[in-house]
Amino acid sequence: MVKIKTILTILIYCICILGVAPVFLYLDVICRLIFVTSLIAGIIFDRKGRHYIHGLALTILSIVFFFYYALRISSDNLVSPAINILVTLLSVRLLTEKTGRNCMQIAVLSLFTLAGSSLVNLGITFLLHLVLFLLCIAVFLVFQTFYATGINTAICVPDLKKIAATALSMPLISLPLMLVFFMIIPRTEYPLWNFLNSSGQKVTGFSEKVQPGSSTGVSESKNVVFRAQSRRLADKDLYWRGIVLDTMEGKTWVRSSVREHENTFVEKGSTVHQTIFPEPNTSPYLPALNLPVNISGVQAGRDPDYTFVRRQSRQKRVKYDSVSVLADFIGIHGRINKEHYLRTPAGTSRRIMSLAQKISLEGTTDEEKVMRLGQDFVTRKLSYTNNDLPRSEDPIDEFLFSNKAGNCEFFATSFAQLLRVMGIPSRLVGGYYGGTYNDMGGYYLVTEDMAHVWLEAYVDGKGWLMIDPSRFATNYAQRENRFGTGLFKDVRLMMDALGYYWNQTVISYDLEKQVQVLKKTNDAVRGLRFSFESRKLIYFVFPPFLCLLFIILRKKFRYTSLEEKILRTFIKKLRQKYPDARYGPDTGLHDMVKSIDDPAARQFVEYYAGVVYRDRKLKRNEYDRLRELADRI
Amino acid sequence: MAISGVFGWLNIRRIEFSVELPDEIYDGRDTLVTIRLENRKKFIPSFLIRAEFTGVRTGFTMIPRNSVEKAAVSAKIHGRGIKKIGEATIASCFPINFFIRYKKFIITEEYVVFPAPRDCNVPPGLGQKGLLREPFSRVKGSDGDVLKIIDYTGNEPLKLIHWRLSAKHEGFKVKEMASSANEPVILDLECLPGGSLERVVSCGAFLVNRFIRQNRPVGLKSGTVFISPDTSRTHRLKLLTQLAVYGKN
Repeated sequence: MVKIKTILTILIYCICILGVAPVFLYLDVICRLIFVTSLIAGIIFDRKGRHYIHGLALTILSIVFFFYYALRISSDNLVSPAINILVTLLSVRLLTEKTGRNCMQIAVLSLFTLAGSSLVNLGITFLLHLVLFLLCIAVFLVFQTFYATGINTAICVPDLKKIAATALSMPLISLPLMLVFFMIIPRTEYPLWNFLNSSGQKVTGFSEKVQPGSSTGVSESKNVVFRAQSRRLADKDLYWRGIVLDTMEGKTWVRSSVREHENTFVEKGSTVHQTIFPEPNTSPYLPALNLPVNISGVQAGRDPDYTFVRRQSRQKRVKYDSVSVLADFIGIHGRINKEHYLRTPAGTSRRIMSLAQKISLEGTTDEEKVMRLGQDFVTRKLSYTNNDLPRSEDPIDEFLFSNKAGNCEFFATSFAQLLRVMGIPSRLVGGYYGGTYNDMGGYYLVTEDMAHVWLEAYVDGKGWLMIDPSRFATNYAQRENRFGTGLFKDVRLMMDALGYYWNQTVISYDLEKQVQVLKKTNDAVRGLRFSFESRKLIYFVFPPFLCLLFIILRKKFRYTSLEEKILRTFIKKLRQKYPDARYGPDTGLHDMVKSIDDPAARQFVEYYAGVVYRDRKLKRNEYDRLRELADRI
Repeated sequence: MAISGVFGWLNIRRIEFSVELPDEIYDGRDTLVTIRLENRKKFIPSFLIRAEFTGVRTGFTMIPRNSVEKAAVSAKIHGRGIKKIGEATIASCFPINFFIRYKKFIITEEYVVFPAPRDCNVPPGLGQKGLLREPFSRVKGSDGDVLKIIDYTGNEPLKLIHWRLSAKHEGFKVKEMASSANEPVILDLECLPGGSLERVVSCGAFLVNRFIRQNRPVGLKSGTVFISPDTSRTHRLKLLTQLAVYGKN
């Protein structure tokens, strides 16, 4: 025998863990500590059967926690304090005795916390937690009912299994319904998630300015920036163009607000189609494989430097299609405003100036000068690093001549700056380099740590030539594989593929898609035509279906003799009037009418016995008479 | 919520209610009533069914599919006579205690409630007012009336030898006596003590049970109804039934 109370206690702890787990990492450290302590203390109290903290003290504690977090709520920070309030209230409840009322409170608070988790994380793990939560809560509610009725306080294991199976079948049946409701429940055009996380929320994306020397290190965050569905490409082609930074403001490269009018073109080359699914971000720039020539599916404009700027509301989860040409340069018809691309900040170091002068003298054409500069970078034995970056007054000078180690920002900015000093127009291109191809999903996964800066140098007669100075680093090859290896990589990619499909089917399912689905369904129903193949299918499916239908109907409406037919009518009428009238193997017709006081019924039975229990079939007039008697009941 | 509603509906569906009552039910006395619930569903069991009839309640944790569960409960049924079970209810808050579903049954089955036996201080001796002695008892004994004179066979006790008659005959003559203990009794309801009708029938029920327990044949006379004395259980129930309906028509 198993005590129902024990089952309920175990289930309530499972429920509260499932509710809090998805938000645990987003909670304050204090809140996390409170929850874990309460959970352990609650289990100990329950095992000992004694709850040491008085109810009043717990109520006061709840109020204190409530006000502590409630005072932190602001229009910018609404979700986090609300979730912390829920978890602290839940923690306090865990310390109390697990009475029916308290258990229900714990279940409700856990449910709210789980619902709140969708405001901080839209990952597929939410679905997993939700399903497990529903299973637990269904079983909990059923056992709670058993406990509340008080018929039994303990149940034997076979009965327990039957009850649990019945309880589990409830959420399992409701899961398909959940899918239907997901499809049809109306959605707002502007999702709640965007409203509640309008600011203060960490978003992914590249920086709109490059400032080497502003920090000593760069984060190696594995947060997904976007996924790009495309065919597999060579690693050298995986440059994702985002933004062009054409102006130097002191040590910082920014994008000028005025666009230069350039008549640009891209020569024909290998074309790559991609469908890009960016994670929510605030950046208006749409990354796509270098060089993107067209982006559709989202309202965006193309600048002459092949930067695509989004015009739609920000941070909404969107997808867009891009067509890119794998080209190394952007052609120019006519001239460019060279003066704009040659501006250098005042105070460029002497060493940089003399280096630029030296290389300028070595080459005759712009193209040759660029090549010479590249060679100079190689001979300098510069190394690529994301740590201990130069932070002096002139970080570029430090990078080139003393430290000789830096990240892509140092490589690109120093190269571009040198080019400008040498009289060759240059600009930086910000975006991403690399991508982990997910074979399961058929897409490239691009993470934050793949953010990259390279540059474009203007060469007369050719146009904007793409150069990645980071490739001149002695250790650049080691940077290639940053996604792990072996089993870890496989598991991570598999999980990412699940997340990808989750985002595609669930998270990005909005009002627009809902209307599309309805429209498609409507069109499909209207234009229903049977092809030859589907006709063949009908030939195979329809006859067995008809046979089955015939068997079922035959069983239900099989041929019955007049005697049986009238007897059925009589019993049916009798049972309608007298629900407990019994007729069966151990109760004859006479016994049945004896238990009820109905003259018509008695008359029927007497007449029936007289005409049926003979060595002949029932006559039509006899049947009519019996029918008349049955109708009188 | 909708799914739980369907489960609640299925849970109470196709359950048949019936009651098994004992042969002897006495007015206002504790009686063991068996409530029988039959789950006629082919695939699913029923849980947490509460059954109620005439103020008697009992609970069933589970009734497996296609099976019968019984529960015996103590009940007090008031008022003698022939009664109908009438309305019975089953209810269940399964699965999640938010709503309670009910199902009512109208049961026309009848049962008899006998008057509560009450001692009316009638001494065991015969010839009292209200008790009629049958003229000739056929049951042999040693302390009753003389039934007949028979020849002495050697088995009879010496005290039964009729000395005076034996002197007039060649052999010994013995008296064959009736038994006063098993002397048949006929209860005349109009003569029974008690005052009120209910007291009279209660007294009658008490005497019927007492005499039959003593293996003494009891008969009944009430108005035009006359039931010959007997000692069987069926006979006792017949007498008690007669007492239950006495004065009810």
